[in-house]
Amino acid sequence: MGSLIAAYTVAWGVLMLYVLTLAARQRKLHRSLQKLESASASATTTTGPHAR
Amino acid sequence: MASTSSLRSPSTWVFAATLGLLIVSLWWNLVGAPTEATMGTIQRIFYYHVPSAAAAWTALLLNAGASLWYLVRRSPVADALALAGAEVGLAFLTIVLITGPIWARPVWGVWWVWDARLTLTLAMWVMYASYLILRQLTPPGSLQPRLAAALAVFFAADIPIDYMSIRWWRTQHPSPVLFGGPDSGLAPRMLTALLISMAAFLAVMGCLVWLRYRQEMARGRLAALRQRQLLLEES
Repeated sequence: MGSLIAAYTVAWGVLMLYVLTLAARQRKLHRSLQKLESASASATTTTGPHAR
Repeated sequence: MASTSSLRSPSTWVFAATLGLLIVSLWWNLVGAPTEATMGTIQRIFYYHVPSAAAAWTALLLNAGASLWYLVRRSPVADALALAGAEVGLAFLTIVLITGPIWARPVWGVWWVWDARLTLTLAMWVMYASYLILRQLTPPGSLQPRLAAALAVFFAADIPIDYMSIRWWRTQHPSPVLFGGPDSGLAPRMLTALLISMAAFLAVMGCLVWLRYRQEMARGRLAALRQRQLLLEES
């Protein structure tokens, strides 16, 4: 019974760990996007909205 | 908010259905399926071990197909799919390589034997781990995607050999219970439990590949935008 519990726990654990790494990467992407958005907004205010 | 919601996929109902399928399969694995006469309760590891292998092989075949597609068309969609397939495939392969020895120890008396099936599966894990390390360590945009795609097509040769190993050679690993000839087969309720578990694991694999693929595509778009922003700042 102990081996069965261990095997099922490992399976769920590996999947949960992978989902957590996906969530961490998603947060990193979100932060990068916010940084880019604020950089873009500050560039627009200093050079004007129609500047290229 | 629109940019983050576009990253959120597959939709909630697919996740809910997959989670429901996992719960149903857990009931079938622990309660619905009868206890095996020789091995007893420990045989129920089978309902996680075999579907994990099926999910791993499917994800890695997707990696091979997408890599071939990338070599022909140089499509970033193919490259992202290949990466997602390899990562998810490696996660399921890890489950196979840990649940196998946990099952083997009380049944065979040893954690591991170097028979064809076990050795080929371990070799597969090492190959796809090195594939992911290569992708991580080399800068994107150079030869990296092409080199990774070529390696992936080459590595994929291990998948059919690993699948057929218990049919071609006499191994410590048991013979196949599905598509294994006249001596193979399962009791009807065991087969139901296995098929439900297989469907659940394949659904989880599909969701994870889809999520990782979307994430990789978003990362690529973001990198391109950052590059454009830098060029604009310099000019």
